[in-house]
Amino acid sequence: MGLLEVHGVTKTFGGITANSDVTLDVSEWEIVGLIGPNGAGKTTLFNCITGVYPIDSGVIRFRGTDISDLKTHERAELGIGRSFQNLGLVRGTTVLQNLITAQHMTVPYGVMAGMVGAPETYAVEREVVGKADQILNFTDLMEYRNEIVDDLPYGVLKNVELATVLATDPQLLMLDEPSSGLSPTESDRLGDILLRLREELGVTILMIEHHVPLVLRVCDFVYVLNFGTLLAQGKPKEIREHPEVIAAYLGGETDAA
Amino acid sequence: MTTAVEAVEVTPQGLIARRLVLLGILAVVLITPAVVSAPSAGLFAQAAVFGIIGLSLNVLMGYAGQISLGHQAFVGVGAFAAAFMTTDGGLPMYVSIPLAAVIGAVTASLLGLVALRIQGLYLALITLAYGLVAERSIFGIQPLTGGGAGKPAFRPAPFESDKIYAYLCLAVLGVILYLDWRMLRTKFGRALLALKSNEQVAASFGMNPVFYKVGAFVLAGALAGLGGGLLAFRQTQVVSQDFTFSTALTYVIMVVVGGLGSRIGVVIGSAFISYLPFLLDGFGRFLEGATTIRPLLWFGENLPVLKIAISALLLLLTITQFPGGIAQQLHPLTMWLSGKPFPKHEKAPRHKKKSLRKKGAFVGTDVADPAAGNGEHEEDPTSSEEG
Amino acid sequence: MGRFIVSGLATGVIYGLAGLGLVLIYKGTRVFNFAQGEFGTVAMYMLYYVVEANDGPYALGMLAGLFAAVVLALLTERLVARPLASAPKVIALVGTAGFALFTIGIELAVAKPEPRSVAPAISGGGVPLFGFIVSGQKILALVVLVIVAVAAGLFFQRTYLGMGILANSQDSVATRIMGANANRISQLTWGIAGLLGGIAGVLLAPESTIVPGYMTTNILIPAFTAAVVGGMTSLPGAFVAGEIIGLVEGLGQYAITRFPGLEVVPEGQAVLLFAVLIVTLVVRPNGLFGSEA
Repeated sequence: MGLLEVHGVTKTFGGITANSDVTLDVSEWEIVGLIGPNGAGKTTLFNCITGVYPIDSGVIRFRGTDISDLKTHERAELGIGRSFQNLGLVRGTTVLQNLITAQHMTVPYGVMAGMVGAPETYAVEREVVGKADQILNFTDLMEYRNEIVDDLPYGVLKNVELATVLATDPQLLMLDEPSSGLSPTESDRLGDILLRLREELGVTILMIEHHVPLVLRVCDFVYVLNFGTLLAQGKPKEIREHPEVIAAYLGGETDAA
Repeated sequence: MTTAVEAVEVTPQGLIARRLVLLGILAVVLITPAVVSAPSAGLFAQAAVFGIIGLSLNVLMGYAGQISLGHQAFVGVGAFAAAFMTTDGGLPMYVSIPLAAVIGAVTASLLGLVALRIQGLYLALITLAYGLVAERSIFGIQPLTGGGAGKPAFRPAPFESDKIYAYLCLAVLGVILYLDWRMLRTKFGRALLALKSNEQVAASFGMNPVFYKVGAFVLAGALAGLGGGLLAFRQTQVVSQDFTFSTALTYVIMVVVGGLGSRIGVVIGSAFISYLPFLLDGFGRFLEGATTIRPLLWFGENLPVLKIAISALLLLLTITQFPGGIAQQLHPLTMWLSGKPFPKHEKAPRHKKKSLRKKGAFVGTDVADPAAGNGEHEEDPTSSEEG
Repeated sequence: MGRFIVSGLATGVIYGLAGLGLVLIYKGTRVFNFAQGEFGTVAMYMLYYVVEANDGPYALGMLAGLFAAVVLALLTERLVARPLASAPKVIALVGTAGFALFTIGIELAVAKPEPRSVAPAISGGGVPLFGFIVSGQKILALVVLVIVAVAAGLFFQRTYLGMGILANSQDSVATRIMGANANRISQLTWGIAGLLGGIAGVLLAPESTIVPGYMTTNILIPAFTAAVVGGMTSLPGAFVAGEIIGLVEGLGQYAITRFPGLEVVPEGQAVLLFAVLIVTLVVRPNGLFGSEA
């Protein structure tokens, strides 16, 4: 049984079909790539999996449980963490504060206890800062710890966002174009981090990605979406050779490959 | 904004200097009601109450990214409820004021439920309409509010002394400042800021948007009701004319001029607006004595009447020229007082933001996008995809 | 009851015209203009000053009123809407509300809080209807307001210039191709909205007890409700919705007279309109006639 099973998911927006009968599987400990030309419905599928959009038909299971009717925050509580194509960060606060904010689910005390400053909250807050620092070390972002996120360059923010999602302590990490805006060296380093994540933290990853070298290097399996439907699936090397995939990319203008 | 947790070396002398300045400010605030005349102590109490009301509106506008142009309705509900419970219900003041906070929270939670469905410009419109309805209809219900004549709210001993009442208001303000400070540094406050930044992102952190959005309204309503209750006993007579469209905007002015999201800025802005009629009166009398130039004389005579126009002008100046408000201007000082080096040069954030923000690098546009806020959340897939 | 229907429909014309001004600015600049009401109040005061305080000719008073309303609208555009063009829309809204408050503050200082009244433009000419006399002024006001609303509708939906103005927000490229300057068009939009507010102001003045902020307190929210019910982007929609709102209000007043218990809540019809506003926004966010969100 896979960690995440997407089965026959269809999503339409007022007559336009964004996802049609999409089925995919992500097993524990896997790094799975989701690729496809612009407008293929990849981000829509992410939004369906995380519960931003309700799906029209099909079923989404996480650890075997049907989560299709759960709200976004409930799916997050089950262990689905995600990044956004545009940055999913809290504006006007520091990198550290973002990592603290993202640990919302692991903070045990109630909102009132926090407001009145109950004694146990202080210890929890210290732990939360400690964990944030660990993640900053892990992702090599310590130097930006106290910077306001609005002031940082895009490439750094992409990594900050990854660190923020990690702070939510996900079992399934869904990344929407993590390498966009990164230089080739930076995206190399991102690949290192992703592999280390799996190695050291046991995180499963589903990622939308255009950058072919990164996909080839880290992904165990790749799904290809085109016009909202699944066009192909297989090992990265097979997909690269797949005639229909090549045709799809050449047919539609693309910044990939 | 919140301050970063930061380790900065401060010399022992520097630390002592900062402590002394802080203690000095605190001492002045604490001693003032005792040494000034009774009417001045009354003004002081009003400034403290305005501070509470400002902090209430700041929870919505500064932290949660919601808007309330009908905040006078929440304050008015609290004021009338407190007056009614004490004058008609015979409850002691120290019971009716907390109950006013509860009633404020309940009424505000209803508007919070509305805010789940309606956002941005339309929510602003609804809150404004709610304020006007409250002013014209609800506050005119004779048996509850005494109609046009209003409702008396007399203070029991020992609070009939303006000085003692001023200390009560100051103490409540102090408690609320503490709660506000703790809130922003713990779960609730972080959730509100995340929600303000982007609801989808907040939900992806496991925050329940419904809970926190309604929660923000409940908290703001409780603080507004509390402020209203304190205001009722300060004035000893509550009349509906005190809760008009101008009042609602005056509250917005306190918060915006003070600096959205900055608790110290908001309290200073609120106190300033509370004292403004008094200051203008004094300046007007000074002008009358000091000049014989006719336009200036007219200006001097009319200064107290011009207070609404002047505070509105302050609002317009703040939003077009200094969006950070008083807090932005005081930022170097507050930074220094909180134990950090004195920043040499502060970049003032303007609406012409840095390229990063303009490109829309962050998820979502501004909270106020009417299209995003009016029901139709389902985006066209072509625009939600890789744009 | 007939009386309440007629008076409701008559009030509805005013709401509709004010709603038209709101929709116009929303379509043209995506701003919720909370200063629209004060365009009318200022026109009322100008009429008062020329006709009552200085015994000037009535026509001059009306012209001065219209002029003042347009000037105020242009000031709002220049001092609030344009500087806040790139700011969040709620900030622009707070800006227009602040400008309304500023205007009210000036009215308070110059005209004082005492209520003022203005003589009607035409005396007599009353028509008996449902047992009471409809004044000549009211009939004149209604006829002119309907003509203005229809003319405005035709101008914006049938003429090249009018359509160009509305194209401003929707397709600025098209506007540029037409050789129009965006600022000019913004000024024109606000100027016309000011003119609409001014016309309503000078015609309503004799029927009103003029106090500072009169139109903001009495007309702004019903007008916004009309605009919202009409879909916020539809000019005919706003006008028709104005009539609906007026009718609802009239029937509400009728209900209050029939059920004396309701009189405990003063101006109960305002509560009714508030309910209409919320229900519309929750159930039909695009209004009854709106097409675009």
